[in-house]
Amino acid sequence: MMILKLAWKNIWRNKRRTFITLSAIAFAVLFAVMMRSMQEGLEEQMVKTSVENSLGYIQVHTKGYWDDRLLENGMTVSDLPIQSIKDLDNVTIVDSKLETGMITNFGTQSRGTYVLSYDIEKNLPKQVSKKLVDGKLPQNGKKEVILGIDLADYLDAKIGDTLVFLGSGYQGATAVGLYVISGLLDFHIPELNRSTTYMSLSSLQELLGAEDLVTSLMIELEKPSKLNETATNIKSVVGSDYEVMTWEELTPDLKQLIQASSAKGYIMNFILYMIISFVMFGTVLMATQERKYEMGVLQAIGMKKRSSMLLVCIENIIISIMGVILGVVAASPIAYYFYNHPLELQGDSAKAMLEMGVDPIIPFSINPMIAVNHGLIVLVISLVLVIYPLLVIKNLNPVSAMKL
Amino acid sequence: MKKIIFIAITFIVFGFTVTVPNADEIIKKSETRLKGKTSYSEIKITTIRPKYTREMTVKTWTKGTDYSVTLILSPAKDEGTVFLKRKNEIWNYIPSIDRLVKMPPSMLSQSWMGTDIKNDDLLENSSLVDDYNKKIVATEEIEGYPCYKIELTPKEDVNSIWGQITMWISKADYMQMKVKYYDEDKELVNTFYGRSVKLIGGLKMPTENSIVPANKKGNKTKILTTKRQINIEVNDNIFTTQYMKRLN
Repeated sequence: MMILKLAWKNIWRNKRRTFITLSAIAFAVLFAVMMRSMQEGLEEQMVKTSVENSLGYIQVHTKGYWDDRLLENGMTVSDLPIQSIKDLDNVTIVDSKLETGMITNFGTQSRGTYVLSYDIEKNLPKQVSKKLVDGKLPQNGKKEVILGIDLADYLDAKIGDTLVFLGSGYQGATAVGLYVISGLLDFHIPELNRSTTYMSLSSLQELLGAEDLVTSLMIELEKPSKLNETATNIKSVVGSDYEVMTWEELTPDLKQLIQASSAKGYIMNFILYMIISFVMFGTVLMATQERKYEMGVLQAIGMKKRSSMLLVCIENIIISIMGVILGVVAASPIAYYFYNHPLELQGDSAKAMLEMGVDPIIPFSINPMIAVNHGLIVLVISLVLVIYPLLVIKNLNPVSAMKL
Repeated sequence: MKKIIFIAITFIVFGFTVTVPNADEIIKKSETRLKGKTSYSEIKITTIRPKYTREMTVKTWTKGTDYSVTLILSPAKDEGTVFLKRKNEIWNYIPSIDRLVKMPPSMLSQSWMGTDIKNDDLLENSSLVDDYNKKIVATEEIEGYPCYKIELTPKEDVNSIWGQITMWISKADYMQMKVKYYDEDKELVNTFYGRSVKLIGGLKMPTENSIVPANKKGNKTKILTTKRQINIEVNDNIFTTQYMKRLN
């Protein structure tokens, strides 16, 4: 107990020394947390954009649809246990989706487009109304469409113009219809801006001659981390006639991209920790050398080596914990700020991200586990570094230590 | 004696070259015989899918390989729809909305009217006669007709959608009895079967044809020729976009 008191007093005795060690640890935590926060934020962003824009976290289709995306492999809405899926834990939204490739034509220009259904009443998928940059969403009962700005640009069509949609409907029937452009969408993703058209589910079903038909159910989750668990639950609800796929299965490319980015992140983190370790070791080294005289005196007046080793240990633990807490406290508001005000990329890196279909912004992650994990790692490093002063004390000769 | 041997050798070599027909010639004869300068046909197309079957009847006029026009007669929903091929373009007239649509290049690899025929096949951008190297590899019997089995590989500078085509062409009448289409990786994509050879419009040809995609189980398109005339008088106006609405 006395040693604990002594350690506490020692810490505040030389405030400058304590401050140097403390700030080394705090900055280490700050940098590690910021870096990881940015990396995880980027990964989350990649998943989020892709999942929100087109996929949903989990999709349900008729078995075989994903490999052979024909309307004939679609599902009848009334056969689906939509309510039971909605009632499952962690499921927030179940969106019925119908999608198919068609030709759209205006004047002399024609272009292939991907036509997706939009639920007017429920305003689903949500990003449609968010990405609307001009005009209005389609109205119920009207033959209206909204489409990507680049597609409209290519067709040389404006809001109010009538487009021809032409393609293969249900069971090979010809699908053809005229639709008025009611609004334009900007996804910030060239690929989507060039190719996407939305019309109301009922309009699209009518166009394709397929009443009550959908191609997939898109399921949004409250906690994306419980992805596989929820998928298993959905599987047991829908039965074996349907396939239940998570976004990881729907876009293995994205999954791999994230794994690669993660691996890169770990290497960067490892390098950062090497640097942090040396900086911290530097401060420990100086602090130890500085206190050799003091330790020599303590031993000369009868303090046992074991006691003074314990003393240094306790001092170090207290400073480390304080440093880690300080670092986390400093990092949190910064991470939170960049979570709300994401970094916007410019130039080539922005372009590269757009091509991958991801918004060129980096919101920081505010996953509390990042702070906990990296705080602990820094704590462990500083505790490992205590070995140095312990060794010094162990081999200390009081007489030579007191000779200045 | 030497002279005799020399003559004998020349004779054998010469004789050999005349008895083995040239693969280029066979393909050329087969193509010109089938298409003529102009042609008119009435065709019934049946699309067979695991979950449904769909029938369609069409009339089609062709002029050389550059021009063709196809009018759909049934089903009722598609009646009056016209497809016009002009060199590298495909135009589609849709009577229900009274619009003329040019097929965008991105849709060329898509299926034509839900069949196993692709829009690309209608265009026939590459010519079997000019753009392929040909080699007779065997003689085989197909549907009771002795056939030359000919392998066609696209010439180096030709942009073909096929990596290889194998054709079985009958020795008599140069009829295309069977054709296998392979992609760049030499994977089989489609097989064309010619069946039920009949004399139609003065021409002996298989009238019940089918296209079977290799990797889709239960899919097939049957093409039944009910009427065919070649080298008839065809008004050039018929191959213009202006004429498409009046074709019905």
